[in-house]
Amino acid sequence: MSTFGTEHPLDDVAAYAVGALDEVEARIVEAHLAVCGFCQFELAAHRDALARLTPDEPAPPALWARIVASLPADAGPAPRPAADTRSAPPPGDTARPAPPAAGRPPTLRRLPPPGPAERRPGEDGEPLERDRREDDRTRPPGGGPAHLAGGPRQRQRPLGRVLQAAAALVVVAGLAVGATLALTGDDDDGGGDVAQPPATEPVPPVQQLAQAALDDPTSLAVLAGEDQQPLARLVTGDTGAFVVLDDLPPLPAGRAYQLWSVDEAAPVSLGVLGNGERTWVAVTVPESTGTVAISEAPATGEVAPTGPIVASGAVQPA
Amino acid sequence: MRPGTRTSPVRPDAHGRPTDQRSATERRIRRGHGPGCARLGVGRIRLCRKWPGVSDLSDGSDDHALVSAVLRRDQGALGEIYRRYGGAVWSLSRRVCRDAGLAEEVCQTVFAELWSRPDRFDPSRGRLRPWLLTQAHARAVDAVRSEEARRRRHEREAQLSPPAAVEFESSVQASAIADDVRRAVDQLHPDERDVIQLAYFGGHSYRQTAALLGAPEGTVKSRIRAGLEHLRRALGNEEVTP
Repeated sequence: MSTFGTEHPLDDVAAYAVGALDEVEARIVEAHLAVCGFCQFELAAHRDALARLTPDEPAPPALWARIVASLPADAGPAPRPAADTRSAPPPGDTARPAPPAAGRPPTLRRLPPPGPAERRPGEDGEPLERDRREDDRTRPPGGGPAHLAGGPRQRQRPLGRVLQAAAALVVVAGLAVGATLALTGDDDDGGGDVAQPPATEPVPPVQQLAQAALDDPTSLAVLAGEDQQPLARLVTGDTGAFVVLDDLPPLPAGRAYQLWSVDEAAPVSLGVLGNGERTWVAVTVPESTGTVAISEAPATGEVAPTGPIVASGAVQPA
Repeated sequence: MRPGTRTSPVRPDAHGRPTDQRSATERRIRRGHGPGCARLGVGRIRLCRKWPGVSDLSDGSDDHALVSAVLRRDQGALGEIYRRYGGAVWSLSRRVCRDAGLAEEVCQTVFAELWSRPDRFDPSRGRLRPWLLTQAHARAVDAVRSEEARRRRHEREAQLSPPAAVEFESSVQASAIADDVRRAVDQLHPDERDVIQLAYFGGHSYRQTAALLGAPEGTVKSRIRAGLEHLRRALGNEEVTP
């Protein structure tokens, strides 16, 4: 054991910096660090050097999607402001807690703030090993390995019943993203008992509802590609809001189109639209939405677009 | 595309463009985005070619501003932090874990926790990249230890991994390493390189490192310190000490 007492335990600080001390030794060093600015400086400088020594390597492409899928399930409030009666609620939506009636798009991505910051002693920013160990026991939901196909939110959905109701539901993903539900089956206009829809009655396909919206639109956005060629439309009518993927090619497995509102300082997800095989997709769009854009994303969706804008356009009142 | 799944009345023509096989209303709307259509005001279409916010973040925002944005639940900021440091977090996790699945789990935890508790990063105590790497290192060591413990239960035999000095050479010679860092590493005494490799990139405790190298434990600690101090001097980031 090296120098403790009047001198600075510099050997131990160095060993601590590379994470080579055992738990007891680490605690002793942490106790010293808490009261010694010199050793704090040494530690920070060691860690800076180690950080520069660590190479940057391309992470696996699926890693970001996995991280997004692991974000706490409560991270994405329902996409539809309570006051918005324009957009038809997708089946299964009632399984979710009512969204805060903030009535503006930012709520889509303003996730609930992290829990009360119960600061533990010595924790103010300094990543002490003891704290890290404690955190192991308090990992956020979904902190464990998450399979892209079955994130936390997806498991919570009464998928069985919804499917039984012949609603071809593309549940979606951008698990932490607010608007994560894209419905390619049917819709129950007006928010009836969507959790237990009549299984016998044939429900009108989403296409019919979309068609009705197109026949008498409230608003329409034509999303054009780079060459101004129209590729998709977002239409709102009495039957709900729908994206029509007119001219977007189907994507390979594991990929999907994702709809964004780009009115804010950063894109706000409005949901995943599937891989393009289904051209009619019910979506939920806040009334105040101005400009929308479509990106290509992992099938689970993402919190922030990583791909380029595929198509974009402004919502115009019809 | 599966046959029959595209139920749109918009049938693609030979060139894959949609044709006008749809209702009159729809055709009217469809025509709406052509030039000169006043009804839908399509002439005023505002196209968006750059993601708002994202470019700003990637252009200039410093790490502190990004963490503040995460604190405000800005997901774009988390994405930008991942874009900046995800590669380093991955590279360190992969080296310590020596297992891609375990390493992905570590990376996932590091960023999910940054999202859940961004307040744990204190910019007055150091920079974001070292902080994230410290988190990743601790997680990776924990993951490896529990994995080893699990294996030990099965095999009834603790096996220390063989020294991975060669990997250190290759890791610091990777193209991702800046020239000045490579030069700094070259200036280290081989003994110092070995202990940093084994302890930091190998995830071994100083006791394990000492056993692997056949060196006294105290010596290993001193070498770690000497190696880091030499590294800092060589990297030129030795600042005024208090």
